[in-house]
Amino acid sequence: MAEIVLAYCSSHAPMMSSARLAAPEEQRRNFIGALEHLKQEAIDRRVQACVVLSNEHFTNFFLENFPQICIGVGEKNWGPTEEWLPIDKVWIPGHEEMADHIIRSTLNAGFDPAFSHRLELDHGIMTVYYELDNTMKLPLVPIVQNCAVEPLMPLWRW
Amino acid sequence: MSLYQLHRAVYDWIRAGEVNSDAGVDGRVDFDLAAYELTGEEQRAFTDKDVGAMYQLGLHEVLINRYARAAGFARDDYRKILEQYAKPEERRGRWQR
Repeated sequence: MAEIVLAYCSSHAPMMSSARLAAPEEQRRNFIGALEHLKQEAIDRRVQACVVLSNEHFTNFFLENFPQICIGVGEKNWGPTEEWLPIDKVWIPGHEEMADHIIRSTLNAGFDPAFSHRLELDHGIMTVYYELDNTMKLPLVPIVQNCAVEPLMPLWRW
Repeated sequence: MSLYQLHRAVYDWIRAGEVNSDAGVDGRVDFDLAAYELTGEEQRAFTDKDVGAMYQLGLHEVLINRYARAAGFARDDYRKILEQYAKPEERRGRWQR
Protein backbone atom coordinates (compact mmCIF):
# COMPACT_ATOMS: atom_id res chain seq x y z
CA MET A 1 0.00 0.00 0.00
CA ALA A 2 1.44 3.33 -1.02
CA GLU A 3 1.01 6.52 0.94
CA ILE A 4 1.03 9.97 -0.62
CA VAL A 5 3.39 12.01 1.54
CA LEU A 6 3.91 15.06 -0.67
CA ALA A 7 2.10 16.67 -3.59
CA TYR A 8 2.86 19.92 -5.34
CA CYS A 9 2.57 21.84 -8.59
CA SER A 10 5.49 23.55 -10.27
CA SER A 11 5.59 26.20 -12.94
CA HIS A 12 6.41 24.86 -16.39
CA ALA A 13 9.69 26.71 -16.89
CA PRO A 14 11.58 25.10 -19.79
CA MET A 15 14.64 27.31 -19.32
CA MET A 16 15.01 26.73 -15.58
CA SER A 17 17.94 24.38 -16.18
CA SER A 18 19.61 25.84 -19.25
CA ALA A 19 19.21 29.56 -18.53
CA ARG A 20 18.68 29.67 -14.81
CA LEU A 21 20.17 33.12 -14.42
CA ALA A 22 18.05 34.64 -17.16
CA ALA A 23 15.06 35.02 -14.84
CA PRO A 24 14.68 38.15 -12.69
CA GLU A 25 16.42 37.61 -9.37
CA GLU A 26 13.32 37.76 -7.18
CA GLN A 27 11.41 35.41 -9.44
CA ARG A 28 14.34 33.01 -9.57
CA ARG A 29 14.80 33.11 -5.81
CA ASN A 30 11.13 32.39 -5.18
CA PHE A 31 10.82 29.62 -7.74
CA ILE A 32 14.10 27.80 -7.23
CA GLY A 33 13.92 28.39 -3.49
CA ALA A 34 10.52 26.72 -3.37
CA LEU A 35 11.79 23.74 -5.33
CA GLU A 36 14.76 23.40 -3.00
CA HIS A 37 12.40 23.52 -0.05
CA LEU A 38 10.28 20.79 -1.64
CA LYS A 39 13.34 18.68 -2.30
CA GLN A 40 14.21 18.80 1.38
CA GLU A 41 10.60 18.03 2.28
CA ALA A 42 10.76 14.98 0.03
CA ILE A 43 13.90 13.81 1.81
CA ASP A 44 12.42 14.45 5.25
CA ARG A 45 9.25 12.60 4.34
CA ARG A 46 11.24 9.68 2.96
CA VAL A 47 9.76 9.75 -0.52
CA GLN A 48 10.44 6.43 -2.23
CA ALA A 49 9.00 7.16 -5.66
CA CYS A 50 7.36 10.04 -7.48
CA VAL A 51 4.75 10.68 -10.12
CA VAL A 52 5.37 13.62 -12.43
CA LEU A 53 2.61 14.80 -14.70
CA SER A 54 3.49 17.11 -17.56
CA ASN A 55 2.52 17.91 -21.10
CA GLU A 56 3.45 16.18 -24.32
CA HIS A 57 5.51 18.19 -26.84
CA PHE A 58 5.51 15.80 -29.80
CA THR A 59 8.19 13.88 -27.96
CA ASN A 60 6.47 10.52 -27.72
CA PHE A 61 3.40 10.89 -29.85
CA PHE A 62 2.57 12.28 -33.23
CA LEU A 63 -0.46 12.86 -35.38
CA GLU A 64 -1.04 9.20 -36.23
CA ASN A 65 -1.82 8.42 -32.62
CA PHE A 66 -2.15 11.08 -29.95
CA PRO A 67 -3.45 9.96 -26.57
CA GLN A 68 -4.86 12.58 -24.23
CA ILE A 69 -3.11 10.96 -21.28
CA CYS A 70 -0.41 8.32 -21.19
CA ILE A 71 1.00 6.67 -18.09
CA GLY A 72 4.56 5.38 -18.14
CA VAL A 73 4.39 1.88 -16.73
CA GLY A 74 7.80 0.59 -17.79
CA GLU A 75 10.78 -0.41 -15.70
CA LYS A 76 12.71 2.59 -17.03
CA ASN A 77 12.36 5.63 -19.27
CA TRP A 78 14.88 7.70 -21.14
CA GLY A 79 15.60 11.38 -20.79
CA PRO A 80 16.01 14.14 -21.34
CA THR A 81 15.59 14.06 -25.12
CA GLU A 82 16.61 17.63 -25.82
CA GLU A 83 20.19 18.36 -26.77
CA TRP A 84 20.00 21.81 -25.18
CA LEU A 85 19.11 20.63 -21.69
CA PRO A 86 22.18 20.54 -19.42
CA ILE A 87 21.03 17.40 -17.67
CA ASP A 88 22.77 14.06 -18.18
CA LYS A 89 20.95 11.70 -20.54
CA VAL A 90 20.20 8.62 -18.50
CA TRP A 91 17.75 5.81 -17.99
CA ILE A 92 15.38 6.92 -15.26
CA PRO A 93 14.08 4.06 -13.15
CA GLY A 94 10.34 3.55 -13.28
CA HIS A 95 8.15 2.09 -10.59
CA GLU A 96 6.19 -0.69 -12.25
CA GLU A 97 4.12 -1.63 -9.25
CA MET A 98 2.89 1.89 -8.57
CA ALA A 99 2.32 2.57 -12.26
CA ASP A 100 0.34 -0.64 -12.57
CA HIS A 101 -1.77 0.41 -9.60
CA ILE A 102 -2.44 3.83 -11.16
CA ILE A 103 -3.43 2.46 -14.56
CA ARG A 104 -5.64 -0.30 -13.16
CA SER A 105 -7.31 2.07 -10.71
CA THR A 106 -8.10 4.58 -13.41
CA LEU A 107 -9.39 1.89 -15.77
CA ASN A 108 -11.59 0.44 -13.06
CA ALA A 109 -12.92 3.92 -12.36
CA GLY A 110 -14.14 4.26 -15.95
CA PHE A 111 -11.28 6.37 -17.20
CA ASP A 112 -9.16 5.04 -20.06
CA PRO A 113 -5.66 6.49 -20.26
CA ALA A 114 -3.09 5.10 -22.63
CA PHE A 115 0.02 3.46 -21.25
CA SER A 116 3.57 3.08 -22.44
CA HIS A 117 6.40 0.78 -21.42
CA ARG A 118 9.00 3.16 -22.82
CA LEU A 119 8.58 6.93 -22.71
CA GLU A 120 11.11 9.51 -23.65
CA LEU A 121 11.10 12.31 -21.14
CA ASP A 122 11.56 15.90 -22.25
CA HIS A 123 12.02 19.14 -20.33
CA GLY A 124 8.42 19.11 -19.10
CA ILE A 125 9.12 16.22 -16.78
CA MET A 126 12.91 16.24 -16.57
CA THR A 127 13.44 19.76 -15.26
CA VAL A 128 11.12 19.29 -12.31
CA TYR A 129 12.25 15.73 -11.66
CA TYR A 130 15.90 16.80 -11.71
CA GLU A 131 15.24 19.50 -9.13
CA LEU A 132 13.66 16.86 -6.93
CA ASP A 133 16.53 14.40 -7.30
CA ASN A 134 19.79 15.49 -8.92
CA THR A 135 21.01 11.89 -8.94
CA MET A 136 17.99 10.84 -11.05
CA LYS A 137 17.72 7.57 -9.17
CA LEU A 138 14.37 8.20 -7.53
CA PRO A 139 11.85 5.87 -9.23
CA LEU A 140 9.55 7.90 -11.44
CA VAL A 141 6.15 7.22 -12.91
CA PRO A 142 5.78 9.76 -15.71
CA ILE A 143 2.36 10.79 -16.97
CA VAL A 144 2.12 12.88 -20.12
CA GLN A 145 -0.99 14.74 -21.14
CA ASN A 146 -1.99 16.43 -24.34
CA CYS A 147 -2.09 20.18 -23.75
CA ALA A 148 -1.36 21.45 -27.23
CA VAL A 149 -2.89 19.46 -30.05
CA GLU A 150 -6.59 20.01 -30.71
CA PRO A 151 -8.99 18.58 -29.78
CA LEU A 152 -8.09 18.67 -26.10
CA MET A 153 -9.62 16.88 -23.18
CA PRO A 154 -12.05 19.21 -21.35
CA LEU A 155 -10.80 20.65 -18.09
CA TRP A 156 -13.55 19.05 -16.05
CA ARG A 157 -12.03 15.65 -16.75
CA TRP A 158 -9.20 16.66 -14.46
CA MET B 1 -2.80 19.70 -49.03
CA SER B 2 0.24 17.99 -47.55
CA LEU B 3 0.25 19.72 -44.20
CA TYR B 4 0.50 16.38 -42.45
CA GLN B 5 3.54 15.56 -44.57
CA LEU B 6 5.26 18.79 -43.55
CA HIS B 7 4.55 18.02 -39.91
CA ARG B 8 5.86 14.51 -40.40
CA ALA B 9 9.02 15.67 -42.16
CA VAL B 10 9.87 18.27 -39.51
CA TYR B 11 9.08 15.88 -36.69
CA ASP B 12 11.19 13.11 -38.18
CA TRP B 13 14.07 15.51 -38.76
CA ILE B 14 13.96 16.70 -35.15
CA ARG B 15 13.76 13.17 -33.83
CA ALA B 16 16.53 11.93 -36.09
CA GLY B 17 19.01 14.15 -34.33
CA GLU B 18 17.78 13.83 -30.80
CA VAL B 19 19.10 11.59 -28.12
CA ASN B 20 16.88 8.68 -28.96
CA SER B 21 17.12 5.81 -26.51
CA ASP B 22 20.92 6.23 -26.45
CA ALA B 23 21.36 5.18 -30.10
CA GLY B 24 23.99 7.89 -30.37
CA VAL B 25 23.59 8.43 -34.12
CA ASP B 26 22.73 11.77 -35.75
CA GLY B 27 20.19 10.77 -38.36
CA ARG B 28 19.88 14.33 -39.65
CA VAL B 29 23.05 13.95 -41.69
CA ASP B 30 21.42 11.69 -44.27
CA PHE B 31 17.87 12.96 -43.87
CA ASP B 32 15.91 12.21 -47.05
CA LEU B 33 13.36 14.94 -47.71
CA ALA B 34 12.28 13.22 -50.93
CA ALA B 35 10.54 10.59 -48.82
CA TYR B 36 7.81 13.14 -48.03
CA GLU B 37 5.08 14.43 -50.30
CA LEU B 38 5.71 18.14 -49.92
CA THR B 39 4.60 21.02 -52.08
CA GLY B 40 7.29 23.21 -53.58
CA GLU B 41 6.59 25.85 -50.97
CA GLU B 42 6.94 23.36 -48.14
CA GLN B 43 10.14 21.95 -49.58
CA ARG B 44 11.57 25.44 -49.84
CA ALA B 45 10.61 26.31 -46.25
CA PHE B 46 12.23 23.13 -44.99
CA THR B 47 15.39 23.41 -47.06
CA ASP B 48 15.85 27.09 -46.23
CA LYS B 49 15.10 26.53 -42.53
CA ASP B 50 12.51 29.29 -42.96
CA VAL B 51 10.73 29.29 -39.62
CA GLY B 52 8.46 32.17 -40.65
CA ALA B 53 7.30 30.30 -43.74
CA MET B 54 6.71 27.16 -41.70
CA TYR B 55 4.49 29.16 -39.38
CA GLN B 56 2.56 30.64 -42.28
CA LEU B 57 2.14 27.19 -43.80
CA GLY B 58 0.43 26.05 -40.61
CA LEU B 59 3.10 24.07 -38.81
CA HIS B 60 2.10 23.53 -35.18
CA GLU B 61 3.64 26.06 -32.79
CA VAL B 62 5.03 23.40 -30.46
CA LEU B 63 6.78 21.78 -33.37
CA ILE B 64 8.12 25.13 -34.57
CA ASN B 65 9.54 25.74 -31.13
CA ARG B 66 11.27 22.38 -31.08
CA TYR B 67 12.44 22.74 -34.65
CA ALA B 68 13.93 26.20 -34.08
CA ARG B 69 15.91 25.03 -31.09
CA ALA B 70 17.06 21.88 -32.86
CA ALA B 71 18.08 23.86 -35.95
CA GLY B 72 20.28 26.11 -33.86
CA PHE B 73 18.20 29.27 -33.67
CA ALA B 74 18.76 31.30 -30.53
CA ARG B 75 15.50 31.98 -28.70
CA ASP B 76 15.70 35.70 -29.34
CA ASP B 77 16.35 35.14 -33.03
CA TYR B 78 13.37 33.00 -33.83
CA ARG B 79 11.22 35.08 -31.54
CA LYS B 80 12.04 38.08 -33.72
CA ILE B 81 11.18 36.10 -36.85
CA LEU B 82 7.78 35.14 -35.48
CA GLU B 83 6.94 38.47 -33.82
CA GLN B 84 5.52 39.86 -37.03
CA TYR B 85 2.81 37.19 -37.00
CA ALA B 86 1.78 37.75 -33.39
CA LYS B 87 -1.84 38.56 -32.66
CA PRO B 88 -2.61 40.80 -29.70
CA GLU B 89 -4.19 38.85 -26.84
CA GLU B 90 -7.33 40.60 -25.66
CA ARG B 91 -8.56 38.01 -23.20
CA ARG B 92 -7.54 38.29 -19.58
CA GLY B 93 -7.04 35.51 -17.09
CA ARG B 94 -9.07 35.42 -13.88
CA TRP B 95 -5.98 36.47 -11.96
CA GLN B 96 -5.62 39.57 -14.15
CA ARG B 97 -9.12 40.93 -13.61
